[in-house]
Amino acid sequence: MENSIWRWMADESVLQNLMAEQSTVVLLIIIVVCIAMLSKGADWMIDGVVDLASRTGLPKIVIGATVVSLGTTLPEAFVSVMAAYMGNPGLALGNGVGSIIADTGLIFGLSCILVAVPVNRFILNRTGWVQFGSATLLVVISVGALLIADDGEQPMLPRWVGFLFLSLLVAYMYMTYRWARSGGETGNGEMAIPSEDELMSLSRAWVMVIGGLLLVVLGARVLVPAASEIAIRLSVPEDVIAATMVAFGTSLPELMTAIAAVRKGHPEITVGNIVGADVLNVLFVIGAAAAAAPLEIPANFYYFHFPAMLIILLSFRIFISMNQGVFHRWQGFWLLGVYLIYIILQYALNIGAAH
Amino acid sequence: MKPNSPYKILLATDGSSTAHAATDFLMGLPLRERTEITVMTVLKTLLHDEDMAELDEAQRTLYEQIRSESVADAQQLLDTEAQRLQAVGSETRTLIQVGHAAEEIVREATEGKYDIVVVGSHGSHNPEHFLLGGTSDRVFEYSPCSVLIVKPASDEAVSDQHLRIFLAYDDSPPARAAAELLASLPLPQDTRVQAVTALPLIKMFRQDVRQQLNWVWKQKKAAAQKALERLQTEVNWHNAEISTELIEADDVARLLLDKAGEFQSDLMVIGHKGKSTFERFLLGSVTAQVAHHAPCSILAVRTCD
Repeated sequence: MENSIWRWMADESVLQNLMAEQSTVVLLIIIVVCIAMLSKGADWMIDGVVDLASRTGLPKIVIGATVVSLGTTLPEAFVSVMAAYMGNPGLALGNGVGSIIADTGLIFGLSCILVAVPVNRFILNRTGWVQFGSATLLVVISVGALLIADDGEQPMLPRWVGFLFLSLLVAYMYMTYRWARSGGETGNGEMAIPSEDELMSLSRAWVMVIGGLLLVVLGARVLVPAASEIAIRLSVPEDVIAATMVAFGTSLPELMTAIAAVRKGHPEITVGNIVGADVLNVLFVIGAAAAAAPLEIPANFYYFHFPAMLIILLSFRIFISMNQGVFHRWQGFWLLGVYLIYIILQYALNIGAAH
Repeated sequence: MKPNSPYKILLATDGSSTAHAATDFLMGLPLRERTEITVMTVLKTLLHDEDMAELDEAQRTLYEQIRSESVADAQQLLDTEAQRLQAVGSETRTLIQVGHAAEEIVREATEGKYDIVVVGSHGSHNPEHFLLGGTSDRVFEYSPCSVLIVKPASDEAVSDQHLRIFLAYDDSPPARAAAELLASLPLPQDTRVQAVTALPLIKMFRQDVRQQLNWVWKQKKAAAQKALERLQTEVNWHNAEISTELIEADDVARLLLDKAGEFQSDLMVIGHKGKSTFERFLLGSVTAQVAHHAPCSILAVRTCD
């Protein structure tokens, strides 16, 4: 038994064959279970790591800018890295780009429709430009890759681009910390050491970190071949499944926190979360995936996914410059509308199927 | 409420022990002068018009006899409850309606322009409550005015004799109205009022770490603290002694309930924003959760729209 579980985890073909034997309904159930594992695993991991970091006396501001900030993007990162490593570049790239579109179009759009989300100029004039800049950088590098690719050769995001993005990620996190200290957030020297009753036991913290990590790895490991098999069954490219179904699933942490923020009457944290998640989807998710293995860029990214991403992000930037106090409801409808059109068109027109 | 108009209370009763307790509770409350209490009961519809048409003469006579007996019983119940209230100086009238209990109570509250509806709660452990939702929950949800839900007294007796009131306060217009209403009552000497503001944290994915660092959160917290200070210093609490507390919590409703339990409250008072069904479904309602699970009687104060 143990031997067979190990084979499922380690041997690519065993897992692929297993997925191929399942009915479509079972595959969809597997995908839902994997997404739940990714989400719960990330939640446990963050909980454990924040607890452990708090014991060391790290300032809250550092924990907020690193662990918590990266935490909600963990599902996307693990899925994309796993996909890149297992030779599914469309899934890796589609998940990263699709998550940016889902975060901004679906989640932020919905938040604006439900409540008045305040425009936090401090965040939007700093992280907001990094959000637009990093996505633009991804598109510029991808167009460059297209231009230098030989005839008949697939353009690639080479590994050095992955490492470049990861380096920019480190710089971005440092800048986030600096911005937080300079006034965007308060409590500069505030240590995160909570009282005894707020801390969990040390062993429990480690169980949550390790258990969470296992759930995330296992969820990502099984999700990739399941999503790949679903793409074959539906006769759509992998990146379509990645940009729709998988991106929605891996964006669940952002969706859940946005819903909680709206329900609890604190929508202001949604802006920072969405903008931060978009930056991390490029620098962390696509960066780590490209660093793991060079990513081929399918043709439909140039005429469909990248333009859709830029339309959403450009709309967002225009709304920021237009708004004085809050994002308006019609702007939420616009973002959500673009997202829905993006999703529907992929299946209706079977984008990239000829590729 | 208009300044010179009488304060109108609608007390719904069904003869049960909890309804009786509601009358007791109302009798023990320090009511304002010129308070009018309407004691109301709702009889179930036994037969609809179309069913009546199918009855023969004998059946119809029997039905009318049963109906008139139940009306007489109901009137007797109402008279007994009204006399008890009159004994403590209240001005009363009685009213019998036929139909669905919650619907008729809400209809009367709306048409009669009452200030408060008082209902007894049978408790959420009742199997009928589980299946159909309690009358008190429905009245709470749909009533256009404030609602006092009286719960059976706890077995754990309060150690001292002072009236202990727990005020859940978020500085919203309904919460301010709740505080003003409370302060306007002739509360007995040494009444203890505990006002608590709970700010909701988002613990999932530990967003609370970032939330607490956010300057908007700090502003909200400072504003909440100032609002509590204003409540303590600017509102004339007459005989009551007020203490305040600002807390942060993941589950605000749970924490308010725990705090009210710790305070051994006789009464919880909370502002009720009156969300639409869509908003309640999507955004939830802390007030509804607190009202449903309150360890003691609860007054949800609703401002006129």
